[in-house]
Amino acid sequence: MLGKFIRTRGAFGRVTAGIVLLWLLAPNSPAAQSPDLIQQGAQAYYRGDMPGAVKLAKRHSALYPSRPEGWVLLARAQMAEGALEPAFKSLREALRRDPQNIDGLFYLGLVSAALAGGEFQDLMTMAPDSARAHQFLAESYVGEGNASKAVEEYQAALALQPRSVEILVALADVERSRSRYDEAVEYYTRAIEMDPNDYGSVYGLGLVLFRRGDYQKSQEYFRRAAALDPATAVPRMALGMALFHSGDAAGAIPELQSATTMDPKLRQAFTYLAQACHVAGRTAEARQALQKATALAAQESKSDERRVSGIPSEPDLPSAPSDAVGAAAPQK
Amino acid sequence: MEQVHLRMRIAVERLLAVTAAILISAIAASGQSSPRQAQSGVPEELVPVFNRGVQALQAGQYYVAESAFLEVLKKGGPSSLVYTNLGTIYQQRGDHKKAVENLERSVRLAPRSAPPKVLLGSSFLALGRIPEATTQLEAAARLAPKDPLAHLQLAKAYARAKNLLKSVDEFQAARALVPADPELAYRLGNSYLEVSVWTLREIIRLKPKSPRVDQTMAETFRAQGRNDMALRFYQFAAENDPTLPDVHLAMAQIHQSMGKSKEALEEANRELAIVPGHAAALELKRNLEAAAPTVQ
Repeated sequence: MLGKFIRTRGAFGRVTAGIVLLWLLAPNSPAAQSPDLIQQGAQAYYRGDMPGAVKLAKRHSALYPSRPEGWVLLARAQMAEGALEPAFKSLREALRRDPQNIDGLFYLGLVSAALAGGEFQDLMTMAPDSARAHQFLAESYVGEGNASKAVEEYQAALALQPRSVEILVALADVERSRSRYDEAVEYYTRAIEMDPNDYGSVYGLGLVLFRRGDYQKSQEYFRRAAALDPATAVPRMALGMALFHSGDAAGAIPELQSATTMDPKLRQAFTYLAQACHVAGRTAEARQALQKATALAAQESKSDERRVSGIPSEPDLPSAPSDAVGAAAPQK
Repeated sequence: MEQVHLRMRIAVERLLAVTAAILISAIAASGQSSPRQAQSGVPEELVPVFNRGVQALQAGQYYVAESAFLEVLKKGGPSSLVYTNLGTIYQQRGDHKKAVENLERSVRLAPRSAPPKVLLGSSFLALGRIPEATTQLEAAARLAPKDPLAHLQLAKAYARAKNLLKSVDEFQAARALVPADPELAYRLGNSYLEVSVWTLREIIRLKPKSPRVDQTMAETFRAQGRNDMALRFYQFAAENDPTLPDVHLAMAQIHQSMGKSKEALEEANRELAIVPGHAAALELKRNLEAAAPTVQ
């Protein structure tokens, strides 16, 4: 900006720009004060002087509203003071200025989790025996990996809200996760009867059928799920996989291609695309898809596994018997 | 955490039931007063038919109600209220396409009325037509800023559009309007959780090797009481960025809670090496030294 000013204003521009630069570099200029204010604010924060940290962070944010660091510091001090909602707002200000600010995202994650805890506490206080309270407990058990307790709580919730599609689908998901497919099918079916447009139950039922090896029937549900959420790659990929396992490699290809277009990082879709193309005799495309799948696999293995273990995953993907996949693996 | 993801579970029944109840009471109220009926476009001679429709709707006799309202339309001409009622009937029957047709007519006839927009937005949501749902619900929330249902449905529309922060705003607005509603507390809580999960995904997307990823995992395990895993991930974070404040302090606190004073003191000292004046670390160190003076 300064360069453009110099170029367009000639000698006058150069002199003015020089003055501006000197002013910006002067010890008491706002630019020079910026790191000082943050440093002083951080020092106040670490010595436990939260009002002092808040004051300095607010001063920084008022002087340099476009810089995220002042907002982040303000939020941290607010969090330390227990002012979670103001901290949430401050972090949003930080991310409005810089959506890629890692510290802003990190603290927003923490403060959001704390705020969620507060809301759930309110729920348990206001209505400890409500369906939502049981649902919340069930979700907590799911988070802890305790499926049987989760099922108990979901069933208690369902007894209070027998027409809740949400609870039925959640219950079905847990039953599916522990391979109790008959129960899962029953709950998904009930949910679909109540709301045929519910994506979770339609896709979930497709998954159960797929895992049972009923590839033909699963296609119907994956197709419906894809229609219900046309912007999502996963049901398209699942449909492609179901078609492939039903012996319709040619039919699987367009579905898998559309899944890879929607989500170019969906490795499983590329792997299946390679297999389907290979079976259909489209060798060049098979090779290309396999290369992409291999590159994605390499990328995944580069990212340290320890980091991603436990990080919430994307919605469940279909998995099929490995022999079926291996049998159709294309040659390099 | 599967339930935290945007699974597009459109649990509209409860909301629609509430909306229907609100509309039915509005209809019933209008049925007691001829001028209001005239204003809402129902000619006086058709009031008995209209009321028959309302009663049938209240009783869940949707086909009877439908036929009554269609008769009112046929004999009395277009009416926003009647189209709204028909829209409600079709929603209750799960026929959202037909509901949309009728609710759009209602909105055209009464563009300043929020309830048909809320219902229309709900049906658009059920049909997965998210941008249209958002437009209607934003307009409804502007027209009726004190209607929690408008905010609630708008929150859902934003969530479906993956605009999680705006979704939180709307859940907050609804919750502020009805603070004693446990349903809203649950929904707002879930919405915050979704934001929390989203931030972690964003960090991984933007900077997959950031120590903040390890730190977040550590915080999560710590909140779950899984101290061993929490310590493991704090250690990863510390190795990843040895200058990152607060990590050794957290480790010190965990060790202290596990009765491991020696390890706790070591971690407190490591924290103080990074942030010399760290009040919490100093206090922890003092406490540890006071409790076990022999620990060095």
